Amino acid sequence: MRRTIEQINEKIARGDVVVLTAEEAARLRESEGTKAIAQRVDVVTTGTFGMMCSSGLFLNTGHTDPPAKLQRVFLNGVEAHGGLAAVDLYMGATQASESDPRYGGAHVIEALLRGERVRLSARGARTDCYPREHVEAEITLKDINQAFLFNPRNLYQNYPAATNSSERVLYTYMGKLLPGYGNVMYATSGELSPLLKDPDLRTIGIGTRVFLGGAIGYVAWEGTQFNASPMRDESGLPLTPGATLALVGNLKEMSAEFLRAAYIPGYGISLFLGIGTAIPILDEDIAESASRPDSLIKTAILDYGIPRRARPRVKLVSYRELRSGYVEIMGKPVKTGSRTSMRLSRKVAETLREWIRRGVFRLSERTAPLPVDGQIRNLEA
Amino acid sequence: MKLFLRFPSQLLDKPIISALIREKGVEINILRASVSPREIGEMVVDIPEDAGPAIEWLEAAGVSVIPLAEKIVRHEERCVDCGSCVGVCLSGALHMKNDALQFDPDACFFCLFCIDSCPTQALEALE
Repeated sequence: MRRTIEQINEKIARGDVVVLTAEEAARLRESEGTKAIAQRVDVVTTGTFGMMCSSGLFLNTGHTDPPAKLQRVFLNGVEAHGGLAAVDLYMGATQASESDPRYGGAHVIEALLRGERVRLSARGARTDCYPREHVEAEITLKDINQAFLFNPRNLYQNYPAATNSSERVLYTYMGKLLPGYGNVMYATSGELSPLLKDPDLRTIGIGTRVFLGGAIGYVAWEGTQFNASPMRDESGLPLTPGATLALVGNLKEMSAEFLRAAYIPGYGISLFLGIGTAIPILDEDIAESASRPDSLIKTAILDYGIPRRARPRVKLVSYRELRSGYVEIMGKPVKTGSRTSMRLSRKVAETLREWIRRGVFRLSERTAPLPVDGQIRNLEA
Repeated sequence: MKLFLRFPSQLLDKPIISALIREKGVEINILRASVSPREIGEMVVDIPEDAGPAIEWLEAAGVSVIPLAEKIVRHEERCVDCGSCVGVCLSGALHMKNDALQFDPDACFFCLFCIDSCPTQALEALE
């Protein structure tokens, strides 16, 4: 059974497309096998809701009269990057406020999305084009020109889980790691996780339409630290961080349900984002990967107690083991905790499924593929 | 039943709990005991559900008795049900049910590991 994206879009237009979330597909596979998926299902939707530090917002505030060049710019006390044209700014999600380390760029982005007034404080060099040196103003999402997320790195294809062999509590971006292998924290949505369901990136590339923060977004580019050559298991699934995507989408269309600022004590600011993809079931190979259940998807547990770039691997585990609440390390059960909300990951996949069923989200052919080779480089310093 | 007990500074040198056990014959499991920098004694205890007279005895002795369920506040509107707190909750009081966070105050031992584990600051321990 083979399908094309064009055929699937015709079914969407006719209203008889068959769409399942990746979880529903995994259950159907367990009862009826991958052939049934390939025969009966046109699209599988994925979803994740996790913290993605490498995210941020481009915005254009509009010009004052007389105009000013916004060079050193603060939004609610958080510095935005002004090294662009006069009133173009970039608010990075992890930038922290100078007065409150628990408040940062992600909070500014969430405040804008919630319709709150955000304080703009800026200064710049006086020039003939831009005679005004200081601007103090309030901005709201609806009153500024453009506001789009442009996230250089989202959707890591698999991510290692974390534990801690050391004798002190570690405060990491993977959460609070208790000493003596006291717990294991993990951070993907497993069988719902977008890039794990199409491990060879056959159906996603530059220009592909995605779900981003409750709106329709697009793949802009390969993500930073994209790794086309991760270690893979016998079925081809990455066991170490693999592909990443740079995503773009209109903040004005997003929903605060799928975008939430985060502050990780001892680490800093991050941004929770809901992201999902729609995988066209073009053939049986894609049916197989898109329906793979937690029990067949593995990740490594790394020891964050060793503060090196290459952290030692403790063991490999499946997401089914991680989600059971305990994994075994050195013969003892160790408690697990997730950094990704499964409830909201599922809601992303279900929302996208409903968009496709209602015909408001069409599948897209990619404009260009993502890289198929190359490894990530390190900085020797 | 889990209780949070607060002892004013003038009671810190009195053997209150042993007096309570002798006089009321009540079974008490002390989970945590400390003296705060402000010289207030704080204790988390587990006592039987039918130990109402013991609570009255403690209050008459000058000890404040607060059910533990009222000490940990979960701000549900901030919680995204990620599970970061579950990974540090050794008592199992914070746990997932159908991927939604649940808090069972009777299991809690008030270690407070969870409070700074939450990335959305949805958990708070009241003073």
